[in-house]
Amino acid sequence: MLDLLQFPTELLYIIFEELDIFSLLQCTQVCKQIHSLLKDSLAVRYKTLLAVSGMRDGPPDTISTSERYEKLQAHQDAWNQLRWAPESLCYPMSTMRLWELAGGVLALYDLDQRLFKLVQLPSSHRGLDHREWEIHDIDIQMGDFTMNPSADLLVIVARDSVDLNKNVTVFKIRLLSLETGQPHPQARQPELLVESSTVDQNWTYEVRILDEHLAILFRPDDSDAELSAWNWNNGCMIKIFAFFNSFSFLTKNLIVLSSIWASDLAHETVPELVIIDLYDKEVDELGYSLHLPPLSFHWALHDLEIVTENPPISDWHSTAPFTTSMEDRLVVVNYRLLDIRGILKCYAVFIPLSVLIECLHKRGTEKSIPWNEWGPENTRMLPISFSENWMCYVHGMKASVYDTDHKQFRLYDFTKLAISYDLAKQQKQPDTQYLIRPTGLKAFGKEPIRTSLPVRIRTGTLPLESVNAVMVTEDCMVAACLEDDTMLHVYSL
Amino acid sequence: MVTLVTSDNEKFNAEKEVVERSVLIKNMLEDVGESDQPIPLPMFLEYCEHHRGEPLPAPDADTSQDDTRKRTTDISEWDQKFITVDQEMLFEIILAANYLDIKSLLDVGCKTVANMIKGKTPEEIRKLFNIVNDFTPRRRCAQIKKENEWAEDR
Repeated sequence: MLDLLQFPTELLYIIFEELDIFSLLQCTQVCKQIHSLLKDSLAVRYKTLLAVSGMRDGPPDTISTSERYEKLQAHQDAWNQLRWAPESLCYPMSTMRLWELAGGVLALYDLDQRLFKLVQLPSSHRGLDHREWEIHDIDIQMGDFTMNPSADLLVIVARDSVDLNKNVTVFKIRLLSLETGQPHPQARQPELLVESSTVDQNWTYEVRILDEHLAILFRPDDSDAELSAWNWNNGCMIKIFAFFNSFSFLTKNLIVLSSIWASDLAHETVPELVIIDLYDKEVDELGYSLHLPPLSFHWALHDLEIVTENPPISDWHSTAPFTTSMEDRLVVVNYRLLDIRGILKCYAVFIPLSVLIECLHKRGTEKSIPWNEWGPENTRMLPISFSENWMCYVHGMKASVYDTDHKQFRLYDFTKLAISYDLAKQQKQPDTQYLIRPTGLKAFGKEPIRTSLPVRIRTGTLPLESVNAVMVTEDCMVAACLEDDTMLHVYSL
Repeated sequence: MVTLVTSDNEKFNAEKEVVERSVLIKNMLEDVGESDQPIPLPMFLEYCEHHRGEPLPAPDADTSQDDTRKRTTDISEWDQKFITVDQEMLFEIILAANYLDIKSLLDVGCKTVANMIKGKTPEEIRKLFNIVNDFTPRRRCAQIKKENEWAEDR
């Protein structure tokens, strides 16, 4: 009988190379020989570091594992010490009032000149160059835009015309290549038209992409919002929904929507998340609902916004040796509400995507699930004031906030393995608070809202006065100064 | 055409292009030159036949355990079927693929072993490969388990 332990060592290492960190750690407990092979092995060290830094390995063939390990270690050290590159990049925003940050690319739109400036953010540790390019001659009146650099896709939404006879507004959607500004080669119809059954002067939009699906929420000032979804490759419209506040993709086919309803019986306002499958046959089915913490009628819930980052398309591989793992990512629900005196208060509920997916898998015949049955254990609700200006403040399992009173940023990191590793090894990160125990938020409910998802919160300062908000990527912090001289400052590690 | 002979003296005829998938055989053929002398070999003809025409690794590619080696993606359906054998045979295939230097087959074999390990507890792994728990004293094992605790309950 052949014995695995008699294999040449190099063969055993080829096998170990195929295992994830969880299996590798199980192997270390099998016997002395495997333990000594793995104990200080590069495979275990690199995969541990990837797991605790919330990263995934890049494509093979570029650089060796030992080089990757060194680069990742240097990258983590630079974060811990906030060692920024000496020169920050600055972008004046006096007229560019629309921006977006996704997939390591910052896009700025100048409304006067109808010009896009695109910036690939640099990373010394991940070997990404700073690159800038422009897209000119946008010949439609921009409403909003979004992009997915991994699909080379730029989506522009514009209000095209109003038909007062039919009482509809027509919107035009352009699907362009982010690199060239030309119609996207994979889009069969690079221009889509959609009608909304509302006529209004002021519209806002939420535009989201996941793989081949594109969805846009059209929000008029004075009536209900409508959501349309397409397969942007073939131009086919999938579905239209109405009466929701905000939305995000969970997976390619699953969308989460936020909605608010009044329970007269309990004298409460009940905010909820509704998960819908885009391809569900029954149009009347309203999907599966997860209740959020309710509010008594003394409070007016002004908005219930869902924020998450569009992940790269599934078959995309960065050229970088490691990138943020999107295996799990945060879905942040923002409560914006007015108290009895009419003062705006903001609260954020942090929910890992995996929790929503698990709730969906475990559901029985019930169409909805009360907050207490899923929320307290699996989420964290905190009083946080995110900027009202659109900010891409969620990146993977992290969210960034700027505290204008104390002039410091706070980086909320929900990477579960990072927290459990730090606590087990008693290696707490500098300037970091670990919030492990349940917190009770005495906000607007009848009882304190108890939540317990572990989080570590890093605080730090930026070499800059009067920051209003910050955004975060693998290697950069983008600070927005929105007062006198509107500027975006990019600090890269 | 090349004639290959197994250890129990069975003879196979195969095209040179097919068997050159093995770096070892390729080198042997070069050494032997254009003669009719038979070359010994086991069950890899089927594997090499199926993968004929696929690009071979560059001759200078580092085939040692260096980690820059190309990590192929998932196991193809055909390979999966080919490698569905008992453990004894699987180990033989891996060792032979290593000896004959057939990189793609070695990868498939190692991936298969890795897939067998995935998701198993240490005790299940021991049972699977007939490994004895030789940690002495037993609390050494408990200590390692404690060191790994951070990655439990994911």
